[in-house]
Formats: sequence, C-alpha cells, structure tokens
Amino acid sequence: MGTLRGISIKQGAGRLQLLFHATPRWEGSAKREKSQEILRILVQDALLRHSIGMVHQSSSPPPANQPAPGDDRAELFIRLLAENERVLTAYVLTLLPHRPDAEDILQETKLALWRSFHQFQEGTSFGAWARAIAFNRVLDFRKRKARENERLCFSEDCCRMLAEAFEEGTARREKQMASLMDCVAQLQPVHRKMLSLRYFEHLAIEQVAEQMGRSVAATYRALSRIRLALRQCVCSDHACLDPVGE
Amino acid sequence: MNASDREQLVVWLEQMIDGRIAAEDLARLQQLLTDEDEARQLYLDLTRQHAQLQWEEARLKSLAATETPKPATTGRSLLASRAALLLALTACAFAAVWIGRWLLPPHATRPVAQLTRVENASWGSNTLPTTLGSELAPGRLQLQLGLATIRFHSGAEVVLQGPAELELRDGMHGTLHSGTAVVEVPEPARGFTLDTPTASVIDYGTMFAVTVDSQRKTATVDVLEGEVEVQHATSKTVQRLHQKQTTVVGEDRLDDVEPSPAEPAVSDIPTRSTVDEGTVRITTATGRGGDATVIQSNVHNHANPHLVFVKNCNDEYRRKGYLAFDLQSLGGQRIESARLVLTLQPSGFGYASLVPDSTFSVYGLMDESLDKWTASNLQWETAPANIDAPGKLDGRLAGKLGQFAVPRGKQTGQVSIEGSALADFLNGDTNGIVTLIVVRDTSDRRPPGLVHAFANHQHPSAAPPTLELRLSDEER
Repeated sequence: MGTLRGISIKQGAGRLQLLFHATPRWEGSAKREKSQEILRILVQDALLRHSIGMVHQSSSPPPANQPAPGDDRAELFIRLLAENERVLTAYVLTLLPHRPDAEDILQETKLALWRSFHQFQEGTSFGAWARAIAFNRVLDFRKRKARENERLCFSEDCCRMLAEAFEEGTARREKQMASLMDCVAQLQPVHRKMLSLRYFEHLAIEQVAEQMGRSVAATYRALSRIRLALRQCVCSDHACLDPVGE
Repeated sequence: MNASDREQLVVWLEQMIDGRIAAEDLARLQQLLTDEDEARQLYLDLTRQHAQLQWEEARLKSLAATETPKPATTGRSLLASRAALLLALTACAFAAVWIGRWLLPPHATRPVAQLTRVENASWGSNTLPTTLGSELAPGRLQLQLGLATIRFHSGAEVVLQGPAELELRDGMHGTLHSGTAVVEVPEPARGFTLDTPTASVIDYGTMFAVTVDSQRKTATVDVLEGEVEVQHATSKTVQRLHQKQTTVVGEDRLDDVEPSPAEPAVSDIPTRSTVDEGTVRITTATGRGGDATVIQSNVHNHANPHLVFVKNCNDEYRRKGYLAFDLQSLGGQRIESARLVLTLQPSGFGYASLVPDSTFSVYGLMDESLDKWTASNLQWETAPANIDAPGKLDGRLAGKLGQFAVPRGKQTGQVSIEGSALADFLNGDTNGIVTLIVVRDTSDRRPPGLVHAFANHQHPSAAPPTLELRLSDEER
C-alpha cells in the first residue's frame, strides 16, 4: 500500500468504486486535472492489484453473479464512461441545470453505472443505458426535493419531454460542440472575460455584475446574448434543424 | 418565439443554473418547454453549451486572458469577415446590441433611454435594439419609416419621424444626425440637449421640433410650446426661441428668428434614388444580360418567371440568384463608382415569421470562362462557383463584393450594395460580361421559412437588377 500525493492507495475494487466519488467536480481545473491524474493512477493500481489476486481482500467484494471488476471489464467501463461522460453531463444538466444538484446526481449515476455494469450488454449503447439510469436518479431526486417542499426542478412530464428531445438531437449537438471554442475565440474580449468569470471563477451573477461594472439585469442580458450568439455561431457551421418542405 | 422570448428563456436558464429561479418563472419556463418544440430545441442547445463550457473552463480562462482576438486563419470562420458581417447585420437587433453595447467602454453601456412606442416603423442600420420596450444604451437608431418614441431616463421624450437618425448619448443628451424629431421635455428634464451637426438645442421646459437636412447641412428648430436656446456649433452664438418661433441654422449661419410656418417642411428624403446625370444604368435586361435562380432540388414548380429567388435553408429548397450584366456598351471606360440595386418582391413561398433579420451577400464570379451560363441551362450542380451548401460559394471562383440587410418580414423596397470592391470587380472585367451571385447568409430560424425574391428582367412593373455606374473618362 503506498501513498500518492497525500492520498492513501488501497487495493481492491471497492476502492475503484470510490474513485467515482473523486471524479471531476467543478472545483477549478487545476484540482480537476489533479484528481483525474490520481484517478488514472488509482485505476491502474486497482487493476494491477486485482490481477495479482488481491481484489478479494477488499472490504466490499463484488456480488457473485457479477464479473469481478478489474481486468477487461473495468477497463471497458472506464473507457465507455470516458467516451460518454460529456453527453451524460449535458443530459443531467439539461434536467437539473443547478450545478450542485447535477453534480450530485452525476456522482450517484456513475456509481450506479459501475454497480450495475454487469447488466450492461456489450454492443448496445452505453450512452443510452447511462442516460436511462441517470433519468431514474433525477426522478428520485425530484421526489426527494418535493418532499422537502423545494420545487426548483421540472415536472416529471417536462423531464420526459426534454429527455426525449435530448435523444433526438444528440448527434447534431455533439458535432456542433466541436466548434464551440472557435466561436468563443471570436467573441469580444469582454465577453470572453464574462464567460471565464462564470465558468472558471465560478462566480454567481451578482459577482459577475460587480466585476464587470454592470447591473445584475444587464449581466443577465449580456450573458444570454453571449449564449445565443454562441449557439448561432455553432449552428452556422452545421445543420441546426431537420429539413422540412416549404 | 421572437428574439425577446428567446432571451427570456436564456435568462431563466441562467437563474436555474444558480438555483434561484422564482417558482412562477419556473412554471412559465416549464410551460414553454412543454408547449413549444422550438423552445425545447433552444433549451437543449443551451444546456449542451453550458455543459461544454464547464468542461472547457481552463481554456476559457486562457482565452479570456488573450485580450486581442486571434487573427483570422482559415476561410471557414474568418474573424474579420464575421466582424464585417456583424456590422452589416445591424438591422438585426441582436447583433446590434452586441456591437453597440460592447464597442463602448463599460461605463457607457448602461441604458439611458427606453423605446416606448413604435408605429409603422421600419428600421435601418442600428447599433441599438429596436424591439418595443427595449432599454437603450448609448448608440444610434436609424429609422427609415414611421414613428418611434424614445423616452430618455431624464423623462425627455423624443418622437423620431422616419427617415431620421438619432444618437443617444446619455439620459439628458442626444444627437439628431438627420431627419425630424419632436421633443417633449417635462419639468424635471429641463436642460435636455439635442445636438445637431450645426447647432445645439437646449430645452427650457417645452415641446419643440428639429429637422436636420443632411443635404443642405441645416437644422431647423421650431418651438411648439415654451422656450429653447439654440447655440450655433461653429460661432457659439446663442439665440432664444419662444413658442411658435423658428430658426434655421447652417454650417456658417444662424438665421433670424421667424414665426413658425403653419406647415413646416420636414423632409430629409434622400435624393440618392434619383440617378445623377452621368450615371449609366445597366440592367440584366440589357444586351446579353440575364438572371436566374438555382435551387438544390432542380425542381422548378416553386419558381416564378418574374422573380429571382434566394433562400438559405437546410433542405432542398435552398436557392441562389445569378445575375449577368453586359458591360460591352461601356467601351472599356473606367468605372469610378458602382452600385447594384435589387428590388425586393413578395415571393409567395414560405413563412416570413420564421426568418430573422437577414443579411445577403453579393459575390462576383472571378473565373470569366464561367460567364457563359444561360437561365435555361443553369443547374444547381453545375452553376458557376456554386457549392452544395446554403449561403456559400466556392471562394476560389467567386469573391465577395458586399452585403445588404433585409429586416424580418420586409418583402418590398430596394436594396443595394456599393463600394470599391464592386467597382474594382467590374473594372477587372475583360470579356464584356460579369456574373454576380446573390446568396442569403442568414438561415431559416426553422423551416419552412420565407423565400426572398427580387424582380428579374422580365418583371412587368418592378425594376430589374440594375448596376448604376459612374464612369470616368480614363480607359480601364
């Protein structure tokens, strides 16, 4: 057992599960890069230890009907998750735009995906499977919030409609995202600054307004125009809507 | 959904991101998302973008640190041409706010006035939004037709009568560059100043009218009620005007005060449209000229013998307009200045409400060997410089000569481009024929959007595509 940058490494698949608690949260890119680095090393570590038979000493052994995480299976999982993570994040943020909520649900979802990975049929769409699991998590979350009398999320019907529309447009949106940063580069410096304040510094609207010397209302307007302009920009290079007659 | 609906949707999303949307707004957003596919698509595009921006936060940071925009590199998204496009898009309130608001230093971007009433208005190039109720930051409004009421935050109310151009400076200060404005100033806004190129009019609690004649370079001030002070811009001479008094201020003169006429002359109607002596007009009906439409489907049941159609959309109804002009009659004389004029006509196809304010680009066909097309043999696949994309052409074969804007819903009137790019292109002709290609840069908001149409050389009443050329005696 060794220590990696202050984090103790324990062997076994149970640890591997914990990793997904430690996967990227929105806490600044330096931290995130570090946690991704750690994740990579921990995964290698877990795989290595599993391959030399240490995995079953873990405190939470896998269910009998489940292929032991590790080996090809764990590798496959990591790869599939990495490939689908962006779309999954977008999906959860669509249903729960509030960052901390989405973050919680994403962590829960990733854990659930790992736990039920044995049910995943190779060759089917991992993305669609992951989104179905995330959807159920979102509905649970809604119910919880409703009990607490916090109703700051969409109704179940609305969630369903959004989820359906999401599936239809995934390919197009993914294609568009390829040019998003080019579009950002074309913005006025002052607009790029606003985006950086919002996404890198993680400032709330009031703080962005203060930094930019604008009113809160003007900041909302400005940000919404930036978002619409970016949408227009990524759309202009790709088909935005399905063809229909005239 | 109109522009302000869309903006509202984004604001709600922004509030959801921060977890602070009001319950009633959430309900409204949810209703919108449930009812309208367009709203859902917009919402999904924006949340996808939101997720991507989170992923790219580190790059955002480094991009934000770069103060100067990256130099343009590829032909796909030239920053310079984007900037030019945006500038030309000024009729579009969205882009307008963008520039107007952002080119100014941050402290000047706070709203100074509100657009409170709009009657039969048709807008020209604006650096400000022209949606009713818009908060207006310092910038310019160009009204082509109709009336627009701008209430400055001081309380002063300016009714602009098109054609006119007003610049908003701050809550107590505007500049009328051309046209007529009637200004009503309540007590608290006393001291409100309306500048003109030749005079400043300082209000003393009144209602007055100012007409700027940009041709003759005069400002006529007419007091309807109360009292104003008129200051001559060059000599700084000051005149007081009372009710029913008028004066005319020129660049180097300040006329005597006179009684107001019963019916003041207010026109600042541009005389541009009357062709000056010495201007040569060549239309697509002249000589070997011609015009045609290419449509991706190559099916001609959506056509009109009197019109050239242009459309930017993602289906097979996308179209581009081809114009040929016969320059043989110029006998090689050099063209000093040139203007291409097109006459908009209702096309009868598609929904105008689904197409936003649009810009069009006019390209010149550089490869002269391709000038020999005729309307009957022109096909989408083989049309000179055409590529199978809406609003775009092969940049190696055709060069952009200019852009014009058509506001949403406008299907009549004239549009034009002019400038040295057009004149240079025409001067470069060697075979006596030039081909100009018209495309719409702006895509449908969603299909099936309006097809824009221009009168062609066979139109029974409207003017065909026309080149207005001013020639010099020199040889080309």
